[in-house]
Amino acid sequence: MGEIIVGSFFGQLDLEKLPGLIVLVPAIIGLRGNISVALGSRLGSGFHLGVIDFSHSWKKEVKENIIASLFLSSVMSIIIGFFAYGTCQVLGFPCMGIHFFIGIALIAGFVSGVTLSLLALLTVYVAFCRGYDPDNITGPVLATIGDIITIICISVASLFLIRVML
Amino acid sequence: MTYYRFQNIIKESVGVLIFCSLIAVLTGQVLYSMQDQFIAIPIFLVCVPVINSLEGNLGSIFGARITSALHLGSITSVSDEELHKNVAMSMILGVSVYGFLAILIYGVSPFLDLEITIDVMNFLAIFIFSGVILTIGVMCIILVTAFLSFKRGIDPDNTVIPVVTTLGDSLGIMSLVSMIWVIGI
Repeated sequence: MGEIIVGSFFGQLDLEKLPGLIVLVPAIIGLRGNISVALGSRLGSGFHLGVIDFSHSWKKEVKENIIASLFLSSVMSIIIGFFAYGTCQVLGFPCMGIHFFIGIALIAGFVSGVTLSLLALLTVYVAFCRGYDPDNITGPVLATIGDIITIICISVASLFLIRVML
Repeated sequence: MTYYRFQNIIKESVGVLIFCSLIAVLTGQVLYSMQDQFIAIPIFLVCVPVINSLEGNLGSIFGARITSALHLGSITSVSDEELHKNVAMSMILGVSVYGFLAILIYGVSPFLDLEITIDVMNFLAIFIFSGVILTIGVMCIILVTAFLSFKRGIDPDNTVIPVVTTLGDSLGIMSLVSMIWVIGI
């Protein structure tokens, strides 16, 4: 059901004004899933190993994890922007300028990255407080909510750039 | 001294992420080449994430069962009866879930402000057939990956899931696009 909501946002993207935007969509969604689920699973493992202990010191470990995940999101978004523009050029498809590709990928990647890092932390924390194994919860929660948040971020980023640049 | 370090996390993830992103961008190009049809009939855009995430779920469940069975030794070769039972079960599950979702999507699309200009039977046929093709394709990918890694002494748990999630998404979009092309709209 969550995925149908994702799909309906997808159906409302302004694909005609931004030719080539659709190329970014599977890449950014896939990236978000890969980075956030990995973050959730690292936090879960850290909790099992005892290096992340919410009652004592956990700030340093969590900080390293979240900063690494945000850094990866930003760098990979820029790379995806280049890939998308480059493949359009190679295949000879008409497309928007490279600043649109990188701008949309970076805004959507970073904003959804921040949101999902907080969500991952919250999920692990709630699971920890209730005594559940976080490994059973973070994967499905982050994958499903992540898709919804990412596609919303892509639509908002593209609307914003249309407003600012066109 | 901390357990997780920024440099290690970056170093270990960047390669696989670049590989997955490149495949995903190429998948996006397949979508782009069909963009006119998708804009004309937005209901198919709704199907893309649905088909992909469903395949991710079905694929990971099937993959997890196969890898566990390989570890336990209850499946040893491709002609094993245990394996055939698993394949048949996943197929039945796949077809019924895709059928149910096709009806659900068709049912909710008027409320999502999407015009339906396509024949019901064509839509159901496209959705269900692409689901079936995808399920078969993903099962083949899982079996090949699982058996190959097991033979080489690599734990299939570490290889099957990343391979399925990356190739499964591409395969999902390609089977949907090819079914739209074959059945017509």
